[in-house]
Amino acid sequence: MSVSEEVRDVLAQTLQLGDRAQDFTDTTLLLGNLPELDSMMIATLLAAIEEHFDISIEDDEISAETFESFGSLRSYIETKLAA
Amino acid sequence: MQPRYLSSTAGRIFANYFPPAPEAPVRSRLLFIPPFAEELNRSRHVIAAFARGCARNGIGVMILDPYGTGDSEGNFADARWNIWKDDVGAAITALSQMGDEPIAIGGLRLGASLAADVAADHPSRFSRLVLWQPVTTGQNYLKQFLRIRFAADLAEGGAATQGTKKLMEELEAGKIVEVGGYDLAPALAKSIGGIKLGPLGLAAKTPVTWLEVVAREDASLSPAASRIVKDWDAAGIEVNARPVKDEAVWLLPARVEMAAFVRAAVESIGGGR
Repeated sequence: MSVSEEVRDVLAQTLQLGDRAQDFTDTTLLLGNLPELDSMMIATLLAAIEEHFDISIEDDEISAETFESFGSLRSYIETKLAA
Repeated sequence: MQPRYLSSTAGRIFANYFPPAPEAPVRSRLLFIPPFAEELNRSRHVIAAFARGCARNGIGVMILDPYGTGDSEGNFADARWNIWKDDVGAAITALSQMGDEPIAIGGLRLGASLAADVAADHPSRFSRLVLWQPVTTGQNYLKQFLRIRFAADLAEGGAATQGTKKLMEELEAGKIVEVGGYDLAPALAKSIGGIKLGPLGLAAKTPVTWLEVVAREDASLSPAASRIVKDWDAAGIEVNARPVKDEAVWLLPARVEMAAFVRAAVESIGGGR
């Protein structure tokens, strides 16, 4: 499974998006565009990403831009995985 | 539904009792403690649906709003773990005055951990400990809770985001930290941070029903839950743990009914057909 597919899966499961997440591409906007993505969900999503990819996310590494689009989130995770 | 106020240590607390249907013989009573802060708002309707399901099956359920939460007196900033334990005690007293039937105790998320803590203080007092997605490690839960504040700053696009580390430091310095409209007192944060469900369950010596929401039909319990269940099992504690495929209502901004979960929850404490 590619990182893109895995990120789609984690998003779909955490935010309960069902099949909607399957159409996500790098340009799909997340923050401000997905009503599901409120503050509680962002916190939950961060925990789900940490667990799924077995990475530790420090708050000062992320900003609103990280969650701007599917592509920005995917790219952040890929950078973490390569580190 | 019989809403009432009970007197407890810090003030009057709200409890809503769902009595067993008149045609059903009363088999047992359950004190149920909801989760904390925003998780409570999101899950209240599911807990009420569960209580109604139990009532139809001869199990009376009392839902407690601990001090400073829900419809109880007090400000959240004044809530303390020990006050909450006293509140649970007051509710148990009220339930035991209704009759001699066995009393079970349980809750959702942090409410489940509070139930386990009270059960640990009174080994073998309760007929059953009902845990729905309990907080197993308080420190992780606290970090996650503080992250909501950080995420809210992110979502508003503010540059001045407060990382959870910084918020944790503020708590340690004795400052109240506001998260999503809830003023978290340092003393309460410290108690929550110290929760370890494993030892509490071992001390409680009470049969356990543990339900965990999972995303897939074939999913098993989370590794954290499995580890604790295994320990309890080895200690001779009867544990009925099961994953239930449904949505985690306490996290979702949109209202979901969790019908599958409610059905499984009623069944799991002996209310099913």
